Amino acid sequence: MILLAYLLLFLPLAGFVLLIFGRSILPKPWGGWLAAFAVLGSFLSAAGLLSQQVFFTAPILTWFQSGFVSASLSLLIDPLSLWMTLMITGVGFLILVYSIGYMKEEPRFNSFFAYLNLFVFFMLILVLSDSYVGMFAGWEGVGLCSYLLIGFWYETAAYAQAAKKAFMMNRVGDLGFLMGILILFSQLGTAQFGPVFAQIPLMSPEIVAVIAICLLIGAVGKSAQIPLYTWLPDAMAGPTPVSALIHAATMVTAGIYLIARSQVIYTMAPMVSTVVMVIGLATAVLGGVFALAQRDIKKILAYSTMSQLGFMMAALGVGAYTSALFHMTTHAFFKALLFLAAGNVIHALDGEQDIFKMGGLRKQLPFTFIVFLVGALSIVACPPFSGYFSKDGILLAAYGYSKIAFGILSGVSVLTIFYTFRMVFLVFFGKARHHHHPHEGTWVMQVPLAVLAVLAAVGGVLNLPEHPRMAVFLNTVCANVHFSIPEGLETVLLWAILGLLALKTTTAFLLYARKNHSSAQPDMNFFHRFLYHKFYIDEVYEWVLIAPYRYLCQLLSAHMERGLSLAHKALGKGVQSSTRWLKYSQTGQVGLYVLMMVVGVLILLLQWVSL
Amino acid sequence: MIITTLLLLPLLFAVGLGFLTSPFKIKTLFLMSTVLTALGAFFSAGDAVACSWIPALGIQFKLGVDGLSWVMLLLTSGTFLAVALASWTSGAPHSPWFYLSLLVTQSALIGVFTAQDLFLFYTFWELAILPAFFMMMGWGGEGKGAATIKFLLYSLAGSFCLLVALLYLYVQSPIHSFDMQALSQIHLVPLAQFFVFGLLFLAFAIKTPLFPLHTWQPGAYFKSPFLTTMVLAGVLSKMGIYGMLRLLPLFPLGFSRFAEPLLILVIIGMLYASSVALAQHHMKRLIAYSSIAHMGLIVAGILTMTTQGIQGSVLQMVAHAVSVVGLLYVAQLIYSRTGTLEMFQLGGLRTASPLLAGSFLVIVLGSIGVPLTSGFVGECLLLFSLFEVHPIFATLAGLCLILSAWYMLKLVQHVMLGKPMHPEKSVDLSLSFVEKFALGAFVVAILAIGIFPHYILQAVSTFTTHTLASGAPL
Repeated sequence: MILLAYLLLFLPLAGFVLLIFGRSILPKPWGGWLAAFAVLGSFLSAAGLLSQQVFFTAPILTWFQSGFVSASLSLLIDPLSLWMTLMITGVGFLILVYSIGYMKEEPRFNSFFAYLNLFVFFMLILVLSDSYVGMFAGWEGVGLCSYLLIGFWYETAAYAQAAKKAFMMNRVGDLGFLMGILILFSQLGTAQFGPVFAQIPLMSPEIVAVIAICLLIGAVGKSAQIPLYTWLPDAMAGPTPVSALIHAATMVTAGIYLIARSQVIYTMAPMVSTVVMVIGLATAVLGGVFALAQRDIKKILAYSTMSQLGFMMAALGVGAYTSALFHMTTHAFFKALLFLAAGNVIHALDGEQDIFKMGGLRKQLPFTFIVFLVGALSIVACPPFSGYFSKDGILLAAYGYSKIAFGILSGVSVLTIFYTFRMVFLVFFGKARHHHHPHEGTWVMQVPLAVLAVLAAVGGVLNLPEHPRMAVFLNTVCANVHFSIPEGLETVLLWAILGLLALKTTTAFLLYARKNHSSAQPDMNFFHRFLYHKFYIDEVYEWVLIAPYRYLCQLLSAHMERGLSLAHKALGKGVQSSTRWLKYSQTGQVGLYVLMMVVGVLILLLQWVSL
Repeated sequence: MIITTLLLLPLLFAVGLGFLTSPFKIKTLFLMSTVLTALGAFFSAGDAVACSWIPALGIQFKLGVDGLSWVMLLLTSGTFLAVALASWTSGAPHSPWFYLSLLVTQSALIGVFTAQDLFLFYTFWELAILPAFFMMMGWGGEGKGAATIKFLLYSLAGSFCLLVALLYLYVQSPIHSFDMQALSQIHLVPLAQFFVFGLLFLAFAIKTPLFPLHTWQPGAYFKSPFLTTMVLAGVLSKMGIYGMLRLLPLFPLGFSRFAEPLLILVIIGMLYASSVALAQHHMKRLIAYSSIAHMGLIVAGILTMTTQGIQGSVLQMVAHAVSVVGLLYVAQLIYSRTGTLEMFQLGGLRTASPLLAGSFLVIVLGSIGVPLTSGFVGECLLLFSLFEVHPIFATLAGLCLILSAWYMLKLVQHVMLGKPMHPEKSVDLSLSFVEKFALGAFVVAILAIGIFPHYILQAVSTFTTHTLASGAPL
């Protein structure tokens, strides 16, 4: 049993080691298959553990111990960690297989798969650790892999810059997380989940609230919430499978996992939970709004990811922990699907990402069109696709918590429908606005898409309202707070969604599929431009925070350093000039020296006599 | 007995060097010496030797290796091993006198870290600084004169403070002895404690160096030959920290009076050095300022006088030595191939040598404290010790973690990533076997310290308990 747990964790690491050392020896497709099978092995181990239904802790090592502070690394196999593991390795395996086809022209093919395996390894550390410290190790580890993969095509300066930006913004969040760990250390001397969750109810609510805030800062950085979200759209510089795996399905959901794992803490801190909800709502709105005006297909998907993560955060904030995790799971299915399908489109158009330079692709890429449509229907929560069940759960819980939250989330759902179908119609309908000869990818790219499409379509069965398998499974670790939801709301919601879907889809169809859009940049009015430039928030960060600080650094380096040197020199000069009079004693006349010696001896003698 | 051998071994080899002229033989002999010393250091734990030297003045030849000394010996011998490997890269000096100076430095450092007698400590302290001066003067870069003089003057000022403090202690000790053990018997009045504490702290702060006494350091790192910079940054800077750990706890009143204002100063210094590092575009200068910031965190930990502060500072000393020496080694490799370390003139080196870029990234990760690499646990413990004093201190010091990631990744970005700045000048970055081995060793060391810091922490746990028992916690 315990062996399976180790296998689960260390297979991807073994894959990484083999690939990084054998990257120049391994022939092209086999390196990719090695990586994929390493992750498949993890998936099967996790499935094996699931079938046994035994939950335990597998120790790895004592990491450090100093005074009363100690931390050890162990694997915690419980329902929540197994659920996360299955999602990560399952979706991860599919994306790795897809990448074998997508990256086949890449000269550094094996390195790419090595990094992906390393990423899966750190992600598993993140979700399997039985302590916040171990989780933090995985947390920064996935950040590192994200850095490596965003900057995978490092020759392009902008990509290298985007990679650095992502790492930096995550580091800001990480500092919050680390502070939370320090508080736990100082209160309990440990950050292992067991003792922490046992002791939290005994601690003062203020301290618990501070811990909750610190952890939230970490989650905000990793899950691209306001105000630390600007790295996520830039992260689309990485290869598309990376965007699918890291920046949609898994890594960015780490913040959701962190808060869900810490349910005990957040239940003790209702005020902070409200903050979580507000941040989630605001992010959901902002992401949805930004997605409306983008032209780059990957950026639209990135803002949509941000918006959906906001949904999950809001769900956590209102106490719907299982609903958030369920939406995370279905989101992993349909967003991975959308990204990979978008990858197909980009691949077919030789790297074109501007949706205004696409169009009419449903005839040339019928398979991609169908799977993309499945993903789109799922994300807009069209019944009976998986997204309907997960989003429905969140909306109902929000209604039970506050009507305002419910209203905002419903509004965002409408935005989702609009921006999603804007994308669908511009890419697949209308006349072709490109001069390529697109064709579908090979079977390694199509099979994973087909599997993901099935998952996105029927994933809802994992947690049906009448038969909540997932909620029952996770019940011992985290559960929804109970809300009283009025009878019949669900039916109303169902019809409302269908009605809105029909309405907004038609609008989008009329706006984007029928009209002939030119591929050139359209004239934009003030509001449109404001939206297209994402309210200029990136620029505000740059000019209000970064640039002045950088200027200060230049100033310190140029002037303060010199000033310090001069001050020291002045000190030296001061000593020199104050002792100048001494040099007059050095006359070179022996007589004077003898006289001084005699005086000295006399003084000594007098002192001796007086004793 | 091992410890005496260890002290004499580098000197013996140094004598041997005088008879050689071929660079190959010189470097081989130097490497042999460092390997033997490293082996000896590993087995020296718990060793001690004591005999009378100048009985009239109460001076003894007394050496001992406790937990702290053992870790310091490993750190020293590890750094010199790296220096020996670095001497095989083209551009390193060939003269036997250079390597002789290095060996004398090593011997003196072994003395500093094991001396149990204050007079002996002071003698070795001075002896350790002098060869660096000769190396800078003889083999330094352009404009070395001013930098060398500055280095010497600051060192002398520090030594003067140290000497006055030690003599004062000698006079005050009831049996007129320089023995460190006897020192703990001295009971000084508060004013005297403040005085000695202040002098010692000043002496060690100059050596470390701490803001605002650091101005000698960037120049010295910048102008020295690479091998000397490695010794300066890797070990000589740790002399100050070692001195603080060894001597300052004897003056608990000094701590309770000065620790808090000093902490504020040190944290300001960390933020200052990190900010200045962000404005640098020469690799060596950037490393120099990042060193000042790291040293600041270590000293801050010691000032808290907590278990985590002391253990964290020792661990962080080791981690910093590995990463700073590693960074300088990579800088040396780049300089030997391209002739420049200006980051805006470099770029795209990763394409030329993925191995170099990969190892460099791991070293950088160690330096910015990513978990499971060398820097994290030490930083975590040090931040924790600050947190126990005041959460604001920990938060401000924590900001330096963000800044360090910023300037280090900026360095990676401009040196390794992007396109080559001068594609017409193709750079041959093929690495020799020794160079590959050295890079691999750095990577292994950084991961090993990151994953198994427990052993280092355990090695100094007895020392920590003793120190805290003698001093008063803040």
